[in-house]
Amino acid sequence: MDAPIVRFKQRNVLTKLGLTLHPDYAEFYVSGTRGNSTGFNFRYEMLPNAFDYRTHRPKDLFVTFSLMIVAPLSLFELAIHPRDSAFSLLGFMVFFGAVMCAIGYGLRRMPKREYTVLATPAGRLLIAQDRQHDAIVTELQSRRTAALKRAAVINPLEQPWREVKKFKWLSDEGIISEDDYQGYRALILASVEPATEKALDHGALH
Amino acid sequence: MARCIRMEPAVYSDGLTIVSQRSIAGGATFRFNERHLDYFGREWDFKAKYEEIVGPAHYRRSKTPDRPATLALMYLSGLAVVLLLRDHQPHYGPEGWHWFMRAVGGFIAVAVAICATIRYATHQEYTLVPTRSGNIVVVKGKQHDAIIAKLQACRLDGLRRLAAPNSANSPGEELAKLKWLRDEGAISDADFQQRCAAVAT
Repeated sequence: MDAPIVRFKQRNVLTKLGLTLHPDYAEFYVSGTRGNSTGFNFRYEMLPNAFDYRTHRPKDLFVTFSLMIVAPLSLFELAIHPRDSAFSLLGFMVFFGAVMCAIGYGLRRMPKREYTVLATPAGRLLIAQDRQHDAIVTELQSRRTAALKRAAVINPLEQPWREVKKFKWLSDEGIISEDDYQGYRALILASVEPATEKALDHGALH
Repeated sequence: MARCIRMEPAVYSDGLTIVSQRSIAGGATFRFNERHLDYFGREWDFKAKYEEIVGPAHYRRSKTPDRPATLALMYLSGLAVVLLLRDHQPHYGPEGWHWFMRAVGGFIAVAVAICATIRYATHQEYTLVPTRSGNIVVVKGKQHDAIIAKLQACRLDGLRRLAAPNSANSPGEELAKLKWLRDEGAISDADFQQRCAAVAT
């Protein structure tokens, strides 16, 4: 039976993330503040192992943003109030800037800022680390496992050693057992002619 | 040179080693596990298997741009211009000239001190170690050489583990792997010959 279609929507400050899980593939899109939207589709077997998940922390701009406001403002204040004492005005602006930076530093921890990044051949899949995060990751992993299980069949058109490597990888990923792998290996290598194998060895040695 | 606060590596009973590089501009934490490295960088956290870390010949070097110091200099220049324009006291003659020179000299001294401080705090040089998951950033500080040495040692250990026969490799691929491991210095010549003989049989 096919897996049901599941939709996840996440919002991270000003960014919207959408993930629709179809039986065979998934759709991902991300839309920003300026109406720009991008996305891609990917097959579940293209997803990386949990070991290869990465965490991305976008650059913190709250403090920089505060300073970018206060610095020109102080020059503007000095220019439009020529009669006021420059030292008191600058002192006030330094205090104001410190307060703004402190507020920015405090605010940076408020929004959900971290993403789990899954690199696929089509692009980077972003999952905001919020309440839905674990459910999305679990669902993706289960669908990846199911997709890889479907791939555990011998392809007679593929080179034998490449097929052996595929089953070794599936064994390392925990999709098939070690016994299954040995069985598939024996089956595939039974079709390899010894003469071909010897020729390959000879070529590799030199 | 980066301003790193030296932290002694914490070594735990299970062989886990954690090294943190802390600096004002941000440093990374390295957790050396038995088979892989956990890297906690400024923007990226990821894991890397030791055998997938490249050798020293592929390391890259980089440094942060001095943008904060440049911006501070631009701001201070703007401030100086505004302060000079709003000064309504007439400064004519030699005294006025002396006043101007003192003001300019004072400004340059203050600007240089502020910009140098900002550059000292934010400037970083680092070594980039590329991996499949991303770049490992090692800030050039007191711990730089120790971290690089540890990475290389762990890499060699990882490569030595690769020397074990892999049933998914054809004999030819197995021999090519052993040759590469010997070239990388992971196995000795004698070990290479021994393993080659084992593969050939």
